[in-house]
Amino acid sequence: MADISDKALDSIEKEIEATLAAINAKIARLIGKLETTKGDVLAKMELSRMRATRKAIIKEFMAFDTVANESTKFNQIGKAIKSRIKPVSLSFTQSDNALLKLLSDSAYGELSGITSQYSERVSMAVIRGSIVGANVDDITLEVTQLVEGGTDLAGRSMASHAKTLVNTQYMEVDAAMTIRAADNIGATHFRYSGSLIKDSREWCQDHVDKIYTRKEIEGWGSSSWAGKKEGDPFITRGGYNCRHYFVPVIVDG
Amino acid sequence: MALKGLKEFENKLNAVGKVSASKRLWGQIGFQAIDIISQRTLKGKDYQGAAFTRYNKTYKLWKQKRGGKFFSGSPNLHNSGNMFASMKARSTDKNVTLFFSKPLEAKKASIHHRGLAGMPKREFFDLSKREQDDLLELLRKKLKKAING
Repeated sequence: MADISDKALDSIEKEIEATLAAINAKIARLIGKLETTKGDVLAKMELSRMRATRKAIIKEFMAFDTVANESTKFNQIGKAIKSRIKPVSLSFTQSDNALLKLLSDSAYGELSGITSQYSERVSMAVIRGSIVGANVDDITLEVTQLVEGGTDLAGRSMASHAKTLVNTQYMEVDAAMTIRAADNIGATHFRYSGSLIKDSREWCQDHVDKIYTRKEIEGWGSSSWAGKKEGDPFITRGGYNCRHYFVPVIVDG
Repeated sequence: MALKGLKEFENKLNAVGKVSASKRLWGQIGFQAIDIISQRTLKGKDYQGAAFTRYNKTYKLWKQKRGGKFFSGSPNLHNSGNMFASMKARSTDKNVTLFFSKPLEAKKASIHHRGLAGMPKREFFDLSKREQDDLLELLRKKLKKAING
């Protein structure tokens, strides 16, 4: 990881504390919900997921001995289970440290900005919301409050952009995770995937469902089209509110 | 000559070992599986190849209005794109697990796949025998490539 200033570290620490507080509040709400709606499978799944996420955050960022011991035991059990599972397995609810990594690696720099004044705060709110399982409307509410009173470069109210900012960055969080994973596995080709609607940009209509090399996608940076968002094309893709996503694929067998 | 042959064989074995026990390769296979699931779902089919349960009348009208000329009439589980964008693969040197990176998207996927919360069951998050065989074939090709250099 690149050098991080004390100020940035303080900011990350605060975000992690805020995330933990949000998770604790959600766990409390879920427990309350379970007490009133007996046998709610989804609430139970979510509670379990929240507890796992809280544990992962503590493991990742807080070096308490007791937690470390628990984690070691957990890993041993995990290894024993893994040795018995089939090569390709599917899991809905596995906790993912990649989201936590985004939080810790100042990844808001990767989620391309709005105006520098707001990009960091908005991105962190979206990542935090993603970790705790908040929906886009809830995150939008938080972002609206964060940017209230501010204006964009054209002098328009930032709050009026909140929904677009959240929709856009919510997808960018996953795009950032995919490109990181793709780097780790040495992926060379990507499918531009997703569905089309009547408002889909011509750019997306022309490119969807096709397979591109890394170099070709990097070249998108120098093309221009309506609604394009500046930044890493692997992350910004078709632009604001883009509903498409890259999937690393094997083309040569 | 014999020694040379043995050395070549040893190199090939090492190459195979390196490829077959590779976190990278399993990761590639995992994302290929995601592509298979995504492409098949976009065609409105579950993992066994059956068409998804159709939309109810009200939702169909909304999708039709939103989709315009691109509306096919078949459910494809794509609306914002968030659920499929969240599908990821995590690999070790022995296997790969597909999962959803965000808890909200995992919950949505679970509701669709299992038919919870009053939604029809649309089993998309799995691989058919044929799809698994296709992935194995890819693995075989990669191994063959490693053997032949």
